Amino acid sequence: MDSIIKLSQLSKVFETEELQTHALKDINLTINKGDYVSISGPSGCGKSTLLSILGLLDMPTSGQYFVEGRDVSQLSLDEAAEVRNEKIGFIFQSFNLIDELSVFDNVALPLRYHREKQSDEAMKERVTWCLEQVGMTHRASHKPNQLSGGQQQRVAIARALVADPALLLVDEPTGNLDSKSGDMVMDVLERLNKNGTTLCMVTHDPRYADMARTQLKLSDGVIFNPANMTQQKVAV
Amino acid sequence: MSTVLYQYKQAWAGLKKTPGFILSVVISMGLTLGALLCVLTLANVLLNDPLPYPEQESLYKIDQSLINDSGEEWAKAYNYPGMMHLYKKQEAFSEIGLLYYDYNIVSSLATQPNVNTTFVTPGWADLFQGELVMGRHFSDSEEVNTHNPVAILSYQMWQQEFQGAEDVLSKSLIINDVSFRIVGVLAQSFVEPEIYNVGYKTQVWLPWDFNPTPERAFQAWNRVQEPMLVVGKLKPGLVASQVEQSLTTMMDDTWQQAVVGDEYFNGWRIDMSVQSLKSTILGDTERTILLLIAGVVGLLLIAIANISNLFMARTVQKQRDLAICASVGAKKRHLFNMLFAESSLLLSMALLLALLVAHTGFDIMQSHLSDVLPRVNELSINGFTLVSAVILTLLCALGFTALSNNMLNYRALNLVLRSSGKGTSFQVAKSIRQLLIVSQVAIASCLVFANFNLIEQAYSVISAPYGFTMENRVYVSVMTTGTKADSEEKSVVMSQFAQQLEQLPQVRGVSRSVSPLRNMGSRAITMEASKQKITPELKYIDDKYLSMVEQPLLYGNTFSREDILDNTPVVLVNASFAKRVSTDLQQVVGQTLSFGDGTIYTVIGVVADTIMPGTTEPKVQLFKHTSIRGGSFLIELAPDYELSREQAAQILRGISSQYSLFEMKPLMQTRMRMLFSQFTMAITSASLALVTFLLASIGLYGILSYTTQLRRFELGTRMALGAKRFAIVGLVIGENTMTVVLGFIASVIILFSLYIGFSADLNAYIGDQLILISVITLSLITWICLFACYWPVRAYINRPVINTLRE
Repeated sequence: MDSIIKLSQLSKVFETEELQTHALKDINLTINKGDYVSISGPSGCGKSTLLSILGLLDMPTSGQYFVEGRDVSQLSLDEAAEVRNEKIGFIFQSFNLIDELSVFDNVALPLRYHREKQSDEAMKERVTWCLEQVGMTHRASHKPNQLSGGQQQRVAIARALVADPALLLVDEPTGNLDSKSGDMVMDVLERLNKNGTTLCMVTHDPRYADMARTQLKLSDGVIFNPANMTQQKVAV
Repeated sequence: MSTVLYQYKQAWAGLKKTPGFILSVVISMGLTLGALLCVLTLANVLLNDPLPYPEQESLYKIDQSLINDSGEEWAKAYNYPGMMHLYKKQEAFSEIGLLYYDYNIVSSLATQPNVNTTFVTPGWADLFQGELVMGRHFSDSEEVNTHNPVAILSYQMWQQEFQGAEDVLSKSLIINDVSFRIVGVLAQSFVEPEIYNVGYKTQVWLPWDFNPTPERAFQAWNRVQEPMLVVGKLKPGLVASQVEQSLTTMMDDTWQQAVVGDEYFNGWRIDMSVQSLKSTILGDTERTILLLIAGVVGLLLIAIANISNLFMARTVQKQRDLAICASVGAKKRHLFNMLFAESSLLLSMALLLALLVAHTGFDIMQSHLSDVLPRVNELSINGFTLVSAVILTLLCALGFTALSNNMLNYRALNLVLRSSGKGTSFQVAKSIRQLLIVSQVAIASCLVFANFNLIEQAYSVISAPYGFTMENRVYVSVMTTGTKADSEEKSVVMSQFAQQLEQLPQVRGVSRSVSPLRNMGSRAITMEASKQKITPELKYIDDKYLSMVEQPLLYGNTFSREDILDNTPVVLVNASFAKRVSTDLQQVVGQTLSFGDGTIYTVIGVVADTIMPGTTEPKVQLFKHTSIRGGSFLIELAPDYELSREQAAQILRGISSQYSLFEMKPLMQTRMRMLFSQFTMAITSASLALVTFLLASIGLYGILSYTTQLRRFELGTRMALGAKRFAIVGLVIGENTMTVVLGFIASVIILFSLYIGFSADLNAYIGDQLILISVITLSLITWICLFACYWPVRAYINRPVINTLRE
């Protein structure tokens, strides 16, 4: 299978004057195309740090990180932005939609930062397709604050899809939602995965973690695969 | 009372945690309020405060103008007999004082100091009634023609030259060979009216009879003398304009009779004018004061805009505390009081700094600007300063409180607690933020533009080519100290002095000429052929002068040594003079003219025009050759060499003990003094521009930094979605461009309105240089804006995105 993400001996250490905190310790992880991986664990276990590094929002202290075979461990800030834009789609817990922009413009935003500029026509087509995927086409001209939490998260999913990324990184997608809206969002994600989208989701809700085909547990910066309880080197 | 104390204690406890906020508010407001207090106090002293003399509103300066046949004012000065006529015959003034300003050596003192002496009639004492430390004022015993040799000292003279000796009244001063018995010492509190020159301080007052007017001028109705002034106290019930008319009639009639038969004055007349002493002293300072007030108010507005921004950010910071207070029952009034306690505490600290700044400002003005601004010695932190300070502070404190209070939506306050950080926190409205940016850009652009204009004006005067050389040239003048020497002896002494100076190794040459920077007064001449009347400035130079100061000779010849020795009646004129006579300047050489004394002078040469430091136009000049007895010397030194006063004085003493050095100054030093107001203007404007620039930078940075902070998550999200750093900076710049452009447009409207309102005053500033100044101003303010856009964002774009997205 094609590997999209590969982490090798990856560590992250936070240093202050007084102490060093090992947030991630020698993580080895491979995510292949079409996977649906959930990462769960208690507060402070390193979930968000791992997701930040996977999303190139943060840099590892040591080890290697490959996206579709390219070493992205030591990219400059601008190079990282480029990879993020083309290969990774983000879904945040707090949606992170921009209030001043309409739903359409929010979804189109990644395309505006894309290396290859698209025509307005192509952009419109792509954005509409993404909104269709999440059932939000009818809200395209609304502003985010006119939508419910669940609707906002679906718009955020459409935005994550728009640049056709290799991987969707999902951070507690239901954390700010009621259970009905949460379920609806999770249904959308599941459907996307079935259609071939690769997903990596961080959640502490066991109910949603179970929806993933591969469930990883993170504890004190170390990954466990509960399926075989084999530490490290999880090849899925 | 305890509630108020409690609120202030709480306010202080809260403020202590934000020292940066305290410092920003106290320094910005302290400096600008201090500057404003300084200027307001000065304006109050100059424009409102009565002069410190009894019945000051009845005091007038009485001027005589000589109007020529073309109706132009030829001179505003008295002729000696006219002045004495006015003194004796006028009836409109209950007291009248004549003043003759002079500069003399006190030969009886060991240091032989040069002192400012003013010869006055006893009326002077009645007019100003200066308090005395000891002794008496001049009285009838010093009336005109009593020849009673007595003197009154200034407090400073008494302290400096007599070390405050109690027995000073038993001493005498010898000035011009006359021994004056000291009869009084003025108190330190006496403020001399600055009617002659701003900052002029008389050191010794002497009776009128001893003024140095030569006896031949006692009946010279046809010449005027510069340093003589008349001051009077108008009788009650008389109107100044009527008095002007009656004095004009009286003086003109007398003068016309006196000059009858003198063709030169055919069609001329005398006009008398009276001007209140207060406006005489104020002079044209009112414009300077208004400019200063405008500049400082501009600064204060920028500071207020900056601090408003800080207060708004502070209110956002305090929302949680305020919400908790509201939730436990604090009413709107209580919240207002809480906010007022904080702002008034801060502004009180700023007030203390402001008073310190004002006090320092007064010191600086008194020590550096007493020659430029009148009455600065009367400046002190007085009731007016304190009341203004308290009112301004209170207004600012209330304004800042009202601003913070208006941001609070009392009904929505409890939402802050309930929603706890779900994006419902209140913010400074976008329109207010934009208004702050527009106002900052507009005010800063106007002030920077105006100040650059003032700097440019001052610089163009300072750097104007003078047409002659001043570097390494020193002017020396010599005066007799003892018994008046006969002219034969004087010419020998002066020649020897020049020769011995020339032999010094550091001296390249000596010219027996008056300083090119000295104004020698104007003389009326008539061209013999055309009977054209011209009143050029008269200069005395010798055969070496032109080459020494490197002033080009355009046509003809300069004086020869023989011309001086034989006293040949020849003169030189400058190009401006020659242009009055003929379009072909060369034609002027050989023409003859007269001074009205019967001697016919021939023009032997035309020299290039020169410009005096501090002016922009050349004067019409005529040059006579110096006499062999003249005591004026122009010395050229080798570069990097000096000639000390002691060395020159020693040489003079070696030749004769009857003379002493009266003045010795490098021309460059005199030039600096002449350019003092231009330098003051340039330095003040540059400082004001710099402070404006800094305040505007801080202000714009503050607003944009606050805006950027508000947008932190949005910017983080954009970066997470793939926006590069350049795109983020571009976004922030792009979004503020329109606001900044609006600021520029507002500044153009303000400047244009000012021009329309004050076009008469501002016309002097209109010219091509405005284009360059506009471009510079625009570039500078644009750079501040670009900096203010980039700097707050840099913290987010130059580190991993997660730091921006994290709470």
